[in-house]
Amino acid sequence: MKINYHRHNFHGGIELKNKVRELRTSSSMTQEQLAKLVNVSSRTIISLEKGKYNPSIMLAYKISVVFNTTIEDLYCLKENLQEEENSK
Amino acid sequence: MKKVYNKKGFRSGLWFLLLATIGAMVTMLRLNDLDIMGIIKSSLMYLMCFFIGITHLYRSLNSKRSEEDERCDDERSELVGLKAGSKSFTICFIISLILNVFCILLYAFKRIEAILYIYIGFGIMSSVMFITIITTTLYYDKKC
Repeated sequence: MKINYHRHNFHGGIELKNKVRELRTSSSMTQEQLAKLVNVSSRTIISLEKGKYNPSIMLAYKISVVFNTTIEDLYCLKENLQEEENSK
Repeated sequence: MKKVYNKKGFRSGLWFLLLATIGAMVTMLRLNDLDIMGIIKSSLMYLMCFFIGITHLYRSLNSKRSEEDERCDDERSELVGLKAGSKSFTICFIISLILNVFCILLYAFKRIEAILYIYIGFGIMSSVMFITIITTTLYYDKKC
């Protein structure tokens, strides 16, 4: 998985590493299918996977429910927090 | 009666149809005053409004299309809209400030009175924008 910690996303914050693409491909799901399941556009899924857009808590939760995981695991929150603190 | 699946789309469809109808009626009433180019221009514009209105109405009454529209109008597109609006406002504000300075400098060198009127116009625009920024910031600071 491509990790770009010091690049900035659409929100102006650091791009967050996430497992959306990894989990989606392992479930043999297309971006369009995932988009339909969580009721967003496929463009949003593309941005999420690239880390360009950070989802709302509800969207992150919906995606984590689809992949039967937690938001913490989906968005590698511990690692991202560690990286954020290291970059300061 | 058909069910409305997308109220927002239905409302905008009605607005476009209303605009097209009123525009077409006004054009018809002023047919003798307008030249051929004016008639063609307004007819094309109202025809476009009519088609946009019909498309919005059709999509809002169709469950599949409404679902598609709802998915396209998600949180990311809302954020894009907010960011684009905010950025364009900031750019307009900066441009009006630059034009203000440009007008002052031009007046200082050329001493043409007409430049002063342009300066006043841009000055009012910049002031209104500045007041808007302060009031909206205060409003959303209290609200959030």
